Amino acid sequence: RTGRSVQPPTERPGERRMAEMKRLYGAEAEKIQAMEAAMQLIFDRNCDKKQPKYWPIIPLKL
Amino acid sequence: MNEWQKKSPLEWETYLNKLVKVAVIEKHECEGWVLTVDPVSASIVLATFPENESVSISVVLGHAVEEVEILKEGDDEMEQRLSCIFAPEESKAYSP
Amino acid sequence: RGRGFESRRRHPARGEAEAQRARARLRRRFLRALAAARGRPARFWLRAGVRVDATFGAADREAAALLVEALRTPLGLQEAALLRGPDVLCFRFPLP
Repeated sequence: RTGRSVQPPTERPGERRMAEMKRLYGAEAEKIQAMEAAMQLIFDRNCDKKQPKYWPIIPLKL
Repeated sequence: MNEWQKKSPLEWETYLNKLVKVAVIEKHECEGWVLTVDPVSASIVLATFPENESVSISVVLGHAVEEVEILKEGDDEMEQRLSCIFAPEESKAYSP
Repeated sequence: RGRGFESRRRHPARGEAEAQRARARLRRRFLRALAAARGRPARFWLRAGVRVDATFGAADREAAALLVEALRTPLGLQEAALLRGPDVLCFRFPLP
């Protein structure tokens, strides 16, 4: 699905992501990471469950 | 990327708790007190108080922001009021 | 002159730490705002003058797509839909 955020494939994606989060958010990286993961999980889970289609079908922003 | 998206977190932070008028693309406009600016998407979250007790939240996506004009500084009371809108407990709304 | 330079050299990360703190505060508030939006009736202003009502569901990490439910389109009700971030100018929802 193209609506998901796509992380570049790496050997250790989790580790690399955490290093990036540390660079961005410093001491609060873990907390922000947890909040983001929770939000992304709801997004992914509901996309799986509800199979939403893009609306409108053709992007308005071309 | 527009000028607004290119700003730094420290620059966005200076808008917190201020009353602003956001010029949005396609001739839209949005006014309210700044609750936050998402550092990832540059989206602005605004609060307005249409009636005394209720709060209306507007989110302007970063890519659609043309200009942000500060209309008024927030006093301590407004800052307090804004900080109460999303109490820390709200983050639990996203727990699985 | 020398003193300022010395202090910068001793604390090269000071500016970066401030930026990180600002970024974290802004991001945390944004994620809380999205959590508060969950399940609320919202109005979306899209490009090309399109305006639709739906229940806010969730956004992905970059706000590249917004998942909504009970989307009222001109052609009828769509149970679940994804709005493209670049299509959306702004959205608004009430808090009780």
